[in-house]
Amino acid sequence: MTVCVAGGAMTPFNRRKDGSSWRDWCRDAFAGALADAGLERSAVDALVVASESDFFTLQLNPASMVADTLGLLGCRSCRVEGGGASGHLAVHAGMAMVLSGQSRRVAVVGVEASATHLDGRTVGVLLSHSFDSWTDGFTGTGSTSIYALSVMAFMERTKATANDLARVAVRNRQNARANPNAHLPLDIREEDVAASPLVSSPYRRLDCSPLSDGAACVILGRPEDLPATGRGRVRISGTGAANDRARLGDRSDPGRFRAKEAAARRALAAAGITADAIGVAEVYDSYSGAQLQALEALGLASDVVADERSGRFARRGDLPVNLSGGLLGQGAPVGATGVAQVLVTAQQLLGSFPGLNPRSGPRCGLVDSHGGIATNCAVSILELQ
Amino acid sequence: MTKHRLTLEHCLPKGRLTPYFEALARGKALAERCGSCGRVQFPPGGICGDCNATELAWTELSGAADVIFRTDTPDRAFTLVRFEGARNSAVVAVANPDVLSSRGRLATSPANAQGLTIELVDEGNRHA
Repeated sequence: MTVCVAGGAMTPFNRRKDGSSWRDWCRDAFAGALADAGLERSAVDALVVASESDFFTLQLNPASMVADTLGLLGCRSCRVEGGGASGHLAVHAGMAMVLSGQSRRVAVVGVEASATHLDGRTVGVLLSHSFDSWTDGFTGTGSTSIYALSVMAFMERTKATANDLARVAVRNRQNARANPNAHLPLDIREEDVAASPLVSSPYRRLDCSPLSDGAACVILGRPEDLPATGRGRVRISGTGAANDRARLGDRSDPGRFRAKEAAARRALAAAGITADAIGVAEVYDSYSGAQLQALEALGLASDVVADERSGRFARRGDLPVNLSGGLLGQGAPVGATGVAQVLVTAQQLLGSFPGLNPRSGPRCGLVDSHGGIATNCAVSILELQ
Repeated sequence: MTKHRLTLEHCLPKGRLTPYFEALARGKALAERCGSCGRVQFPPGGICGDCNATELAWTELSGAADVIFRTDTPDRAFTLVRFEGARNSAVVAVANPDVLSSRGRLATSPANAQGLTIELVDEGNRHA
């Protein structure tokens, strides 16, 4: 059975200052997705909501509230949470609903108000509980420090340098300049990254993805249950998910994303392809170094540092990565992030992404997200039908 | 724009890990030893990280630790360390971040801060 991305839409990812609410963002993304898919609201029979934390929205049971806001009544609805992978895992859940026959057309709505509903310090404290709150959370070890310790292990093993990390931060921000929905479209150079304020060595502010507000929606269904749109269609041909030990110190190599390796293997096997068939990728770059760690784990490079230095992951390279800008450039409203990653990859395969599209017209794309520090990993393979 | 203030005061029972947290409050490193494979792990997790056995006994470590990696923020430092006798490693806060050292010792956590903190052994090296 085939499950397709019928359509989708996202709000701009940014720091909202216009007085709009997270409910407005959900409504806008859903309305845009319906229009993109050529569907009426009544055609949607299930809703999956992705949201990492009720602390941001101050709304428990968000699936019920979002369903009500969207005018979806009598529908199957639920919420999926998996840290930074929440949105992507919600897409997997929606796909499972279609594959099982429980639903015919599922709207997956991801939302997070990470940027403006709470002050940045409070958000940092909350996010430090994304790891083991009984150890890391209570010592105030923030996300950046945990990622920093992990990337130091990666750098020691691979001989990657701070400049390799900075190149990723620059390229993703440059890619974002063509993306009208991007939070941080910046015209910067490697020296700007090195000169930005220290957050947790070796990471500086420009190595870190922003906290963003925003929502994204995709609608999933079988081709026979979807209207003809007169354009190509993208199907989700394989998915994989896997977890790792939650505490970095419990891993045999703290610089290696083992769960992502497993998730990628499963997704590629389900799609019946190998990694060399992937022509474009949206990868979870919560930090600049995490993009290199992810590309290594996903099996998209045999020598990730050499490939990075050769320009292989740039727009003109063999494997363009994060043409949207990724989390570093497009932004990261946590629950919406993975939904948007799936959406923009589908659009890139169709050549309809309103930013940079791959020049080679690839048939297969890979989407990668994770929660924690690659603790809960989700990978999807998207393919032109 | 409406402002809401929410104050939360959590009371979190620690269940089977209570002895570990009580020891930590006294500055003692109480680890788990697996009854099946003998792995010693600190911090403990309630299940063996090698063989998944749940028959674990408490064993006290010296509290000495080797620093594997260190990261500095503008006002704090955190390290990945391995406590002497443990198979796994741990992310810990540094009590004296001005000191540069590859060795440390478990420190008593500040009041109500139940996470792991080490005091680096002062060998005369200072942070620039």
